[in-house]
Amino acid sequence: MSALTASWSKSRTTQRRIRDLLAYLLLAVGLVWFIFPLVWVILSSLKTFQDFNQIPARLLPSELYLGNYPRAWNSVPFGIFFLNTTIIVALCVVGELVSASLVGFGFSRLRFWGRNFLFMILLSTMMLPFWVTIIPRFLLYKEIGWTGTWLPLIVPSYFANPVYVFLMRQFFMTLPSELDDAAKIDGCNELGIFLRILLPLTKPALATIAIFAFINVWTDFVKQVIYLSQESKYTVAIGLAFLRWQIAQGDPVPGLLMAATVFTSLPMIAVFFIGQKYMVRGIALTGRTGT
Amino acid sequence: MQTAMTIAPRLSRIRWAKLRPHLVGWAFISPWLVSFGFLMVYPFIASFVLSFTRYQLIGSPEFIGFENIQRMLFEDPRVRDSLKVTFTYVLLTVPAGTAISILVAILLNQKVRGIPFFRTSFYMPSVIGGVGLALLWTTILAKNGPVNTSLAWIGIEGPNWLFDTTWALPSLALKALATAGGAMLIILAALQGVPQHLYEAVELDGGAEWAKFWHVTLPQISPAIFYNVIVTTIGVMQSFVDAFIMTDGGPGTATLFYGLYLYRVAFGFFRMGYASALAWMIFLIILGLTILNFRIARYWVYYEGEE
Repeated sequence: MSALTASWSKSRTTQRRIRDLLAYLLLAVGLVWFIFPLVWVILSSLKTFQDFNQIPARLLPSELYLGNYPRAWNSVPFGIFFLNTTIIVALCVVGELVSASLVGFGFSRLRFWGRNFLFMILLSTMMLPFWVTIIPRFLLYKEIGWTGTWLPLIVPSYFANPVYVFLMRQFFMTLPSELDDAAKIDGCNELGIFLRILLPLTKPALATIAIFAFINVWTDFVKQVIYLSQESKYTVAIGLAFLRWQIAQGDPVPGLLMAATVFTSLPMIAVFFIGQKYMVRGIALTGRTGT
Repeated sequence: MQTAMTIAPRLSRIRWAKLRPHLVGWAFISPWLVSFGFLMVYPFIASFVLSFTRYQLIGSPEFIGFENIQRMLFEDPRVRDSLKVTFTYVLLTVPAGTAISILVAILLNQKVRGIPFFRTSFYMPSVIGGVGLALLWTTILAKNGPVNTSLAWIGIEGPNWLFDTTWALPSLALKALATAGGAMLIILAALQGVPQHLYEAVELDGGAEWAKFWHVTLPQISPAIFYNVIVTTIGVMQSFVDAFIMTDGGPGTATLFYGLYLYRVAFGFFRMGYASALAWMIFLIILGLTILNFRIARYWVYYEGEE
């Protein structure tokens, strides 16, 4: 009897081991698929011009050549572009946080006429294609003299992005309503409940929105390329595209491009590592990504 | 006289007390109401009206009836080309992307060591996104890039991916599939929300692994899969950056996404009337696809508490 259970559990562990091995094998394939391009770009950024011309292409650089970095940094005014992008991103993140938390609070904790109907509309606007509104928006901004400035990129973030409103609402709904009732008995009005009771509890949701907004604004290329026209106002994403076309037009230095790709992605990777926990939590809470 | 004087303020006080919560609610959501009005409703209607005009930023829009629509539907070969490219791209990326995101999510849901590391690595490319990732893939797919080098090992001479009429679009699709991280995490979250007792029920019935997957996992995560299909279809239909950066729509019109063509008409040639007509057409197509998706969903998406 005991021999039987022993052999049964043994076959069970073998089965388990085979399963794990298979899982690791597939995970390794996934790792190559997803992460190899990133490794490749880092390695390539350290290659000399000669390294690139070798056939077959070499994986490792022949030496640890750092020259691509300063050359890439100086080939386009990246210093200014980083500063510009940082200002735009910072102002947008503040706007998204303030407006999404106010509107999210309204939709989750207050009762008013048309609430559910308006929330349905808010959800459906998330599916409205970007292209169907961009032309009149552009004309509107042109009319009031905002094209060519950062205002069309920044100001809308103070008027509540539906994606972040939804996230805030979902988070507010996880907080017990007894909190509001207790505060009301203590004489708090709605603004007091929002600012003093609930907002301090929503830090994880605010962190999630801040991270998503940071990444979205940093990588948003379409709007930047539509609204900005002067080089002094350009962003990192436009600078990178700029460099690409310079190189396409004959300057044969792929190492430069790779170095630029690495240092322009660093802020995103840093934010990702700091905030990954919050991003995953936000996705679990809403069932959608914040983009 | 006296009664009237005391009743009037009381009445208004009652009315105010009744009205107040609604006003407060509307005040809280007012930031969204403003953007909804100015950045959604107004542009939505304005682009419809502009569709019937000629407007090149000089003077005012000139009403030309159905000229734009006629041109768009019957005369402009670029519209047909770009729609074909866009639909092909949807077919290349959405089904495969959905399958990959499910597979990878299941893999990341296994109880083996090092999962956080793998999850981080798989998600990271989607975070970099935008121009950087497009440039990265431009070098990956270069004539003597790593893809062709690997192919050379097994004796295949790879094409010049992005500059080959046949391969340019599949190359962009390949790049899109390597950034399915967001969709993958949504499925993973859904997988972790599947109630354990359902699996135990299958075990009691003597069901095998695949029975668990087929009868429990798949129905339970189907709403998340459905959400991904909807959102990625809408997103892919509007693709722009990859073609703009990696191929500039070429070679020829091989990667001329609808979004890229629309961008050129609007912000290259500043033909705002015609571009608005193009925008409304893609809106209607996307709307149609979304409705179709919802119709099909009845047959495969399982919602709790529905019989």
